Amino acid sequence: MNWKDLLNETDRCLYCGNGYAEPVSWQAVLGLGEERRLCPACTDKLISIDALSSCPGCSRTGSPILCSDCRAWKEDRFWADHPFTNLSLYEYNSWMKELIARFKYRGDACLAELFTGEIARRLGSAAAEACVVPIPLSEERQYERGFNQAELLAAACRPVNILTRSGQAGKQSKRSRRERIGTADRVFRIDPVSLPDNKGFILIDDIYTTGATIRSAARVLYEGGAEAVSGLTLARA
Amino acid sequence: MRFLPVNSPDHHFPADHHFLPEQPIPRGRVWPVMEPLVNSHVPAEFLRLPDIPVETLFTPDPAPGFEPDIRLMHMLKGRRLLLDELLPDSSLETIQKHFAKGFIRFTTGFTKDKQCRRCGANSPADQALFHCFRCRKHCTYCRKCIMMGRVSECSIFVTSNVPAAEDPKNAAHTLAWEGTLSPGQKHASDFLTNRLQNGPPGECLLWAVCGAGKTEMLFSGIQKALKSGKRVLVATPRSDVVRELEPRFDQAFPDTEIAAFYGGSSDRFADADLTISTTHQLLRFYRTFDAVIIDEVDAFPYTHEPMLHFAVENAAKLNSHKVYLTATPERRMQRASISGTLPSVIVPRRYHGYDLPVPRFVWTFRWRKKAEKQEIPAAVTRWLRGHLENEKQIFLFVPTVKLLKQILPAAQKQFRVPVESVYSEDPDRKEKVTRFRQGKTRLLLTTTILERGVTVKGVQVGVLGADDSRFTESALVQISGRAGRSPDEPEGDVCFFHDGSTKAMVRARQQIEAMNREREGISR
Repeated sequence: MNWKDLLNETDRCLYCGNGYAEPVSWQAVLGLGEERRLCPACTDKLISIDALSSCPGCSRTGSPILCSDCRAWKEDRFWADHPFTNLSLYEYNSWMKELIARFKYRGDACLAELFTGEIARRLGSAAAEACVVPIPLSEERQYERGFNQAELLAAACRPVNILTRSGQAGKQSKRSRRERIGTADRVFRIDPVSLPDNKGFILIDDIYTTGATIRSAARVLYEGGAEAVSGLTLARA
Repeated sequence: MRFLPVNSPDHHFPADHHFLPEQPIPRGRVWPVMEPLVNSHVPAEFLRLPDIPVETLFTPDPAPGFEPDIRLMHMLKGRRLLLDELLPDSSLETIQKHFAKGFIRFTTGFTKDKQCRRCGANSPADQALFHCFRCRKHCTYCRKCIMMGRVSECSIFVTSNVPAAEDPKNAAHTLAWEGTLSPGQKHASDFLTNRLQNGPPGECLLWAVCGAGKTEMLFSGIQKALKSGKRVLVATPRSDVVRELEPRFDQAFPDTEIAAFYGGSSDRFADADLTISTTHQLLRFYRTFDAVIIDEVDAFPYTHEPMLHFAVENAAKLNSHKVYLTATPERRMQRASISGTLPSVIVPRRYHGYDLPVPRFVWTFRWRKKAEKQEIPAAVTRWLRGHLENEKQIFLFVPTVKLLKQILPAAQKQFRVPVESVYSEDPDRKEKVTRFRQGKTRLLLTTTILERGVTVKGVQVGVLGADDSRFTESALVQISGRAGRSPDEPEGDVCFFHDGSTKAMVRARQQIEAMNREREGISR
């Protein structure tokens, strides 16, 4: 390591811990630029999903038309007249997989800070009008983990916990695709004490795989009188 | 979990959680009562982790006649584990019972001055804050050792409070290795055996040149230590070294239990007389080894990571032997060895007895500029061509991955032989090295990742840009040590291409020449 490099490296990547130099710009001098906290090497591996070339219903990458999964959901009588779209921000590549594993399973809570700003920016004014609801964890799971990852991701959009989740269902990531879509068990409940006046809701979660979890929460909200529910997840598997 | 003062009026235990101490406990001490951490019968009500510091807990003496749970005590043998690591395999009730009977002890995750007890990190840069669902407070956690599971302020470590049961197996620990040691190896082997048996506990250095046959020198000493009932650990910073050592020790000690630990190894809680582990995996061990042998003690990341030194210190017993094993000790360690403050033995000869190849310096004017233009400097091309025409295999070391990618196309175009490149994040790294070993690839461009551990017969070694700061003295000695390792071809050409020689280059050459001047093993 050259001492000149050490002098230049002003920042430390929040994920890989390597030092790097934030490029000098007028924005940074004036304090307008947002802190990135990821080194250039990690930024390269973080791949945003382009809304124009992904499924408008669930952000699945590949084609801009409604994907087969979303069409299958539409066939359900309930979803035929209750609109639900999900927006995912990043591709679930191997780098993202490792990052989410470290965040959720190892419990590195502060990694959420990498995304809170971007999530708030993408929600924009919608977050002010609607009520931002993180997908809850069962109490056992939340105790085990120490935090709810969806709540941390939504931290910059004033999340409201109006849902609760019962513990019988078990881990979603341990099930097969068929089991997930087929689970009709109602794991979510609206906590009646904290229901706000808003009629629009945005659900926040970490990963969208088949959509079973987030739609099951959306359904509970619709049945509780919501007028519009949509979803935002960090990654699209 | 709930912790209550024993005499407090508001404690009412359910009958099956009732473990009152059998002896009076000192005033001001508290007695923990664990209940299911999450009480599913009473919705939305949680039993919290304590506000009471674990330091004030009263741990009674082990109760005689109590039959401990074999599985739990097995997991805790020689280890310090988070309560969360035990819970999948044990229950809170079992843990509570063992605590009440004085068989286990609790400690906090952090020390009072906010140091992680597991990895020793105490700088604010290695810590973060989150709102903890367990203690319902802002809770600091350690990011340094997060990959082993989170240690936070409200975490609880569990250790065994009883001395590990003496194993009745009393294995013979026969040594099945039947090779002969070279005079240098014999010298070092005797030194080590004597030290582990009769010497005072403490550190010593085994400085053996590349290709001296380090592992064979250890066998006799390890065998004697095992026979006298010692727990022996062979640790190394690199997981590939663990995977390479395991079969060799397995063959040498056929009736000894051997456990190997590296990221992703199968049984996390294996217990054996001889343990082979990466230094990272030592974070789970606690004061259990009588003799610790650290192979490649100067290798990355051990030298750069205080956490790993902390892990080794914690894994070893308070009075233990520490043996550092390397071909290229750091300067600090070299000085300590020469001045005699660090007891050491030097093996200056390779096991086949031939001299180490001494590097030649070749001035390559402006190699960096050439490489940026995707050209290989003329001097290097000439050298490569010469050896390739003689049907030799060549390692060409370069300082950076970027440079590697710049010159690879030129190399593939200029020479009509299979050329490949490897670097640390290369997905096909293992296959490419295998192909080179089999002789399918003639020229392998590599970064410093292949500086140690790779033995290829009759290989020639070049370093393009030896004056780069990444090539330290020890890296250059290790790289030079790749050549001439086989007794059939003990000669090898080592060539440093540079644009102005550096201290590291000169020192590396001096070190090699000094070793060649020595004949026998030296001990200090």
